[in-house]
Amino acid sequence: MSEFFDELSLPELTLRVDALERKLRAKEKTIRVLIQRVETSSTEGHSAFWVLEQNIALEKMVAKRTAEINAQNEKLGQTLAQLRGTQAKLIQAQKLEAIGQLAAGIAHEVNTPTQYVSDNTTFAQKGVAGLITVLQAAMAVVQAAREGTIDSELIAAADAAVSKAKLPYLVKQLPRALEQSREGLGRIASIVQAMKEFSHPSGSEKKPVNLREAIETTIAVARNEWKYVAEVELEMAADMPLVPVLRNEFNQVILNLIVNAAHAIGESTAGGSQGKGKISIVGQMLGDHVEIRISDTGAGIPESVRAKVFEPFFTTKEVGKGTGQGLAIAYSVIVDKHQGSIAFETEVDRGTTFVLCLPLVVSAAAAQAEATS
Amino acid sequence: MRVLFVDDEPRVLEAIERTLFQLDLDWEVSFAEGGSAALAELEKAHFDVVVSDMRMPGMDGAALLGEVCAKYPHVARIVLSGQTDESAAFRAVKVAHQFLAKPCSSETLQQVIGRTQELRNWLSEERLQAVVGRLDRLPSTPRLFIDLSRALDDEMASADTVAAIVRQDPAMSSKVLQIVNSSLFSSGSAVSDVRAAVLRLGMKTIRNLALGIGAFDSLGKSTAQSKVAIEELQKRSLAVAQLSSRIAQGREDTDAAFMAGLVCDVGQLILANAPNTDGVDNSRADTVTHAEVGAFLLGLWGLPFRIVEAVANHHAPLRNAHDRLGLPQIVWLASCLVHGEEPNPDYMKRIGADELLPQFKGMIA
Repeated sequence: MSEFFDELSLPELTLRVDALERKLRAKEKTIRVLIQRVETSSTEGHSAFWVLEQNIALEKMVAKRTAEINAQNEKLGQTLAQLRGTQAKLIQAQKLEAIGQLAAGIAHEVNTPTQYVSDNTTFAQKGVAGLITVLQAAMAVVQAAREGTIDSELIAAADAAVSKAKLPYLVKQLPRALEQSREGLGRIASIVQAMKEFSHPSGSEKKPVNLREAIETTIAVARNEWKYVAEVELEMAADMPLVPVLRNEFNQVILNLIVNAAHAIGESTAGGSQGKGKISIVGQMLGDHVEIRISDTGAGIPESVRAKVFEPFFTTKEVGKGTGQGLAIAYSVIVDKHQGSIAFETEVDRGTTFVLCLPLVVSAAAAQAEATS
Repeated sequence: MRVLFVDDEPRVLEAIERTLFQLDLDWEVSFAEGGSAALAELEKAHFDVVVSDMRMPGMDGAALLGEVCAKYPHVARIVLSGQTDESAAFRAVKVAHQFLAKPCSSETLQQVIGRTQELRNWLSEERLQAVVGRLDRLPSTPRLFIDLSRALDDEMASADTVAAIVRQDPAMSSKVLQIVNSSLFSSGSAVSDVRAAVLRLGMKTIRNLALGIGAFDSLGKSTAQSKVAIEELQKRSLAVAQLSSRIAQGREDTDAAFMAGLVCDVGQLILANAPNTDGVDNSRADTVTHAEVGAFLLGLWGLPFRIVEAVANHHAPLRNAHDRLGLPQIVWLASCLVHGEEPNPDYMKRIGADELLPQFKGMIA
């Protein structure tokens, strides 16, 4: 991920913003002192000329300082824009990484149906060739019957064609082979579609999103991550309205939480060999916001690490399985970008539930911040 | 031949059944939708081949094939997996003789399974099949193993340096060719040359193989005596390899000849190191049996079939249908000359090589 920081790293940016703010504060102080001096002098009975002189000096100073402040402000604005760009890139980078991890699973999801579609079409191709020879032999019999020239040789040839083509087997299996091929192609198409929806850039503005559809897509994309260790249940309130979210970022949060849940269950069931667990996702309306609860039946979060789960780079997973960014990104997306909240309830040996709250209305301040960004 | 197919997706099994039915094979096939169901089938009947998926709920392919290796070591174990990542391939290497990637054409599947039947025609004794079936690696020469570890420690080591070490050792060469010819790494054409194999796999994969999953055997627990025996075998094998490759010049693929010569005596490694508890007569290492044992292993591992064929016939080239100086004859001849034996003059005449003998003798290094 480091290439995303080459222009300016996050700590560097923060330092620069700090320095600029300090300079601005210092300038404001100078002006305040000058104004104070003018005010005190005029009350101490100096001559009008002296006051005028002072005022001119002050005006000059203020003009100069104002120009400087404007320049600094512009610089600050640029730096802040850069900072926002870096944050966006960080989220994009984590998404790419998540997709990279998913890619192997997606390949597996696609390769399985491809295997049987390919076998079935091979079977169908040869089967149809057999059917055609049977049909030709049968047509020859029909033709001979019509002409009254039918003989046992023709009938024997037709019988031979039927037996060579293994007709009863073909009649029984060909429709099933084609039906399963269609079903397999449907599965491949839907996983490709889900991948497309999942990764399609949704822009930087919040738009009303059907959360059920978004979550279903994410469940489909992550299927290979959970299907060996858990069943997934999704239950969304029927009256759930469209919710204004950044669809991409929201998808990514749900993905991170589903993958975490699957890992937690995988760990407590020895990779699913001790029976499958359950991941349930429940969404409901709570006044002016929606609540989404994502629960797993894993081993829970140990007390000692509960305080750290949202910290960037914190992970308890083995090397290569997690980067420690998933929940930190989830926090930043839900709390900073959506003015929502994220918390968890956990019980050792019972499981963990992450609770997301998203406001139904984008607050004026948030909309303002978005508009200016 | 009895074959068991295992996959958690019943449609995969159904489709395989259809294509096999159409091929009119004399195989008896069974199907199981998971690891435990497969073990139940194996309890019920005698199987020769198991073809299993890797990722399955409950008992997965790795666990199943591990069980099969322990309980039914004579059974050929083949993975047919939709996973594409290297770590999955390495998990398969530990438990399977061969690994095929989904989607795999019915022709390839049929060919790979069919080959195991040919191997059993060469080595019909089930006790020996079990000895070979259990092996996931062969003992390497300690010196070359150390050389390789040193080379791999060096971040800057080139593929050429590594290949030059590996291609001297029958054990490491066999393992590398097994992996590169598995369909998870293969691009379709069979690879007979170690250098090409190392280039295709890449240094990272070779490192993982050697240091990560321990695909090579350093002979850590062997006696000094057996270490010496292995050193000697390796030196002789390398000499046979070099001579085979020289004789093959202008006649056959020299890479395949080199490899066939190098690995023609791996059967001796297997028999000499087989535990006595298996009731295997170690003294048979010097007889014709070792050729069949070696070929059985290399065939199970999916090495290019002409190499396997040459190894199987390198003491009895007469079994080969063609009376010409082909790959089995070249390895037989090189092996005779390196061991200081005079090749059978009648046979040399039959394959039209009698007049070339002095020239070949002059090629010995």
